Amino acid sequence: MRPGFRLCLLFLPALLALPGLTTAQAQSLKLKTPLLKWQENGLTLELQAVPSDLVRAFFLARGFDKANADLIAGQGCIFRSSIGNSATKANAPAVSIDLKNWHVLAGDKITAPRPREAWEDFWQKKKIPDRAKTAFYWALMPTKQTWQPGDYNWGMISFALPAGTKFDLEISWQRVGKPHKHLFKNLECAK
Amino acid sequence: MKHRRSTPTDHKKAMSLVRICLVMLCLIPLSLSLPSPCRAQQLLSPVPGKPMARNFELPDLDGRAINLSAFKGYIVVINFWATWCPPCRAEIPSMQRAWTILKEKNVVFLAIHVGGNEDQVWSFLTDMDVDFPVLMDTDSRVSRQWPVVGLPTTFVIDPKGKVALRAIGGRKWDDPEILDSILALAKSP
Repeated sequence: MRPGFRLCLLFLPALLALPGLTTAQAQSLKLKTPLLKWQENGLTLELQAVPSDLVRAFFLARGFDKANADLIAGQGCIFRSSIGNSATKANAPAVSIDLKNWHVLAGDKITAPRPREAWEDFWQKKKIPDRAKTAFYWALMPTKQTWQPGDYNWGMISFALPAGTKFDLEISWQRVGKPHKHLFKNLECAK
Repeated sequence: MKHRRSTPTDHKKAMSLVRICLVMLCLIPLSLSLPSPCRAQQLLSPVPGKPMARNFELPDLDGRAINLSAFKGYIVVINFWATWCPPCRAEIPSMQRAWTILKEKNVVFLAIHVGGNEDQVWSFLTDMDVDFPVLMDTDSRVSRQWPVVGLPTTFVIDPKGKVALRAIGGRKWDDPEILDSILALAKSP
């Protein structure tokens, strides 16, 4: 094991016990991957690719061992996301999404984001601590949800694509029973 | 077995890796966060049909079992959260301020931490100067029995034990509009 990595692991428990970062610190440290901010027909969305080193570090800190943290980082083209209802008035309509109906277009293949339920089944077959499984489940964007005005959610969205892959993403949502779609072109998994 | 003696170059490389690790660890909680797209509004949604709140029993940070049914007759704000959830962290200070305002008005706050362990939560709460009760749902059993799909999600239970209001995502809990919505439940039919 490289000496730096060993030292990093040694310091990990102490670092995780450190008090949380302040907002100012949070704002001063930004990912370098492009941030997509978008809003239309009641839906507001932000997406940003997360580099695999950060994904690995996040899950190491949540109780995964190195092999499984590597597996997530290797298999997952992970984007952080924040999605919600853009309405500003209490009586505005709700919006709903189901990630299983989103389409990932890469090359000649069309897939859907890998939902947290699929990951949960995957983890059941592996010996990993319950706390790691729990953290993983809640760290992913919920698959299906309805947001009232003022509601939003955050979480990671996992695409089954290799690092650096360019792809198009067709998202869909419902508002007042009416379906809506939008295509984002040329998104890129972080390296 | 032969060991190669560390050279100053090795030491420099090791320290540079440690620095990278430190920066990465600092980035972890926030890199997965985003500002609330709806931060301007402070809305709580009425829950259709106001179902009875499902009872639960969970340990607090001192290991005492806390039962929801013990708070009948009170307005109860139940917040599902986690220390590593950025919007949860962001709303905790305003929740503490709201608790300070409402605790003398028959309002109880219960923050249910999903997953994790007591030490992580203690450390976080001490830093944030929080003193409302925090319960531990380490295996997320209660969180998954309740209609919680993501964190944070907060429910407000009326004095009859019915789930009256809900918020998905963070809020500024000491906003006057929110405080009024909560207190109005004392008079709700």
